[in-house]
Amino acid sequence: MTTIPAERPIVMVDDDAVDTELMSICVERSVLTNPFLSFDSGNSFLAHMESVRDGKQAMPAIVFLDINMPTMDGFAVLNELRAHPEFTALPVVVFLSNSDNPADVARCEELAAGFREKFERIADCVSYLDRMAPAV
Amino acid sequence: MTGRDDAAWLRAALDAMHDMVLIKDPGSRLQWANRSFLDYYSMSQEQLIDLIDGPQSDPDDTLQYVRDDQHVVRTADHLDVPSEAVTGGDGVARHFHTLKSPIIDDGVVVGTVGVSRSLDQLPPTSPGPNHVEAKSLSRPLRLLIDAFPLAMLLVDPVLQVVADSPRWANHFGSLHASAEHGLASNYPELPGLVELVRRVMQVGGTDRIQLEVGEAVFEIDAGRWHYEDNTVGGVIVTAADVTELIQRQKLLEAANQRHDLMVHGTRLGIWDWADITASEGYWSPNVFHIMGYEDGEIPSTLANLMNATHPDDLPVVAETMKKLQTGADSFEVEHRIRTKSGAYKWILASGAIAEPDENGNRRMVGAMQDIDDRRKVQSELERINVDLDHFVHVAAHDLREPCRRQLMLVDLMLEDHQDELSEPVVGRLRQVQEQSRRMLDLIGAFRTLTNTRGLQTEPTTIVDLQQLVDDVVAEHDPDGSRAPVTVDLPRLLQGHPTLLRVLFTNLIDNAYKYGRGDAIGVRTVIEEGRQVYVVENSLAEPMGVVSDLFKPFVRGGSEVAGSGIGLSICRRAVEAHHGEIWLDDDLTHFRIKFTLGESS
Repeated sequence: MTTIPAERPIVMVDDDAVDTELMSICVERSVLTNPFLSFDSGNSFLAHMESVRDGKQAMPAIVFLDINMPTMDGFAVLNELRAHPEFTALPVVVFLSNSDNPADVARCEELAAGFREKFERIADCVSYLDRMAPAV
Repeated sequence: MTGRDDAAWLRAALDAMHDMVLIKDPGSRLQWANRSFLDYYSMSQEQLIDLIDGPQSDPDDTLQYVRDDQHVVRTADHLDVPSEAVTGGDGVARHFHTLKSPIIDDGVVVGTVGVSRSLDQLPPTSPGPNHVEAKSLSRPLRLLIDAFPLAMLLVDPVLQVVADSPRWANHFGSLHASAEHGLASNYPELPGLVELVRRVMQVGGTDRIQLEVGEAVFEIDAGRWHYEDNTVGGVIVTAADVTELIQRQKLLEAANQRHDLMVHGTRLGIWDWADITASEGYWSPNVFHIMGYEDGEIPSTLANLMNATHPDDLPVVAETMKKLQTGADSFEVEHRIRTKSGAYKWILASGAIAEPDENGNRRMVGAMQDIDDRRKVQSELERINVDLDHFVHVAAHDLREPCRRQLMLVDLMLEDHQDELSEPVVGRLRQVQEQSRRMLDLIGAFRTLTNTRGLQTEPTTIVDLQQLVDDVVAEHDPDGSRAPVTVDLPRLLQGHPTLLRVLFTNLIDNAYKYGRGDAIGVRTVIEEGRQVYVVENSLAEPMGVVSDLFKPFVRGGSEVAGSGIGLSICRRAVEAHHGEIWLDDDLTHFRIKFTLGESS
């Protein structure tokens, strides 16, 4: 399980406002104290990451990336992100609708990203986040 | 008969036959020919004797009939030449069925007698005396009659039998030992024969009938003969066994009819090339029709076929031609062909190539079939499948996500506000969650089902069944707390590994689900000589009778959990292995049986 440094933001990239809101609630209810940032498209996220490269914004602690987005899907975003050496080691978790597609799984591994299916229960999501907290 | 020259009456009798008769000496020199033969050549006996004068007329020994004569003399055997071409006096070659027999005197071959029957039509004969004197017949008549290649019967004007040949006796029985030589009393069972002879005796000329005797069929010829003073001498009757000939004709007619029906009565276009390298061949009318032309509207050439082939299909057609020219003996190729209107249509071309003939030519016969409709349906099906895959993809995501969010939102509501809500409201919210959950399960099952379709193309390998089922059990029951599973299976099987895993996963899952906690058995039995796989468990509740259990979305009962997709997936997995799956009749057990044949 990836543990993440407390001061850096947790970033969510998802075109669905309900998913983003639910995640923000779960982060709040978890033991994590990280700030939560969300983007509703790959482009706005990548623009933000340009500022990160320029040192104007903090490096994310982890990125939760939705796979199914219009215009630019999660893999395209991830591809562009990993093209920058600064971001090759940035932890990314791709959220899949179904995790049993071998092609999707292979692409995640290829792009050094974790993957998981989206949550169906609040408690499951909170405990998932809890496990990212650095050991006390 | 008294006072008459024996030789003269036999000559006259033979002249009355419409078959051609030739009598030769052992050196193949012509001794005598009957009227039919002379008429056929439009020659006199003398001219003919000069013409057909033994081996000296054939110094190179190339004439087949001379070789045939010599064969008969050398072996003293009867010879049957089913088809012999003989050029008549009019310069036209006709085909004859010729029989040749040795004339044997005291064990010595003293000559040959041959009879030729036209395969085309009866040679022209006319009743009347033969005024041409032949060289003398030097041997007793009896020898000639004995030797005669056809069964022969000689009847006098008052219908008394004068003589019969051994072949006649063999086919129709010997004359009665009594002195009674009347034709009718000797052959009461052959009224057709008696009638024929009576008629010919009255009317003159020649006539022919077919007579069935048991299984055999004879062609009976009768001709009335005359002495030189025009007195009627009698009737000569010959019989030829044509049983085989008729059978051959029937087979040939059936084959011709089959060919005609195939060419004209089916939608097949038939073509025939004398050699695979021939530029022009035969096309049946349907070949033209398939290509949109009238019969014979364009030359039936290979070039016309190749030029009409769709450019994209030329490589596959050329490849087929190449294989044929390098020894393949049959082919089948689907390609598009341009029709007269310029539109392309799909055809299936198939054919077979014969062994090379004596000139090295390899005949190729084949058929062209219009498969345009089938191909259109096929591409429509492919399009529908692509649509279906797309739909499944959309269903998997776009239907699933709102459902999942609904679950999360209700979950959030319950977490935050359960204490403020009345019990019935909480109950209703739980029901909403349950329905969302069921919807998600159905979408998942639907995906699994369509994925199974894709899995059927997975290559087969040797699968260790025991290991596979052990893995499945470990997955279902990682800490060994559920009902035990006893596995007794043959270890190795050729199959699609993922499908087999899906199969056993679903069956064991069902066995757990419906069972009452007893051990689950996974084993094989032999039933009706087949190896049958069994997965079974005692049922917690007797199962209701359910038909179509193996169809998608049919469940064992409304109280039973699940989407109703598991067993239909099992059926797909079993069918991909050419097997069958069924539910055992015993309703107190969950017992599924299936076979696994050869994998596809």
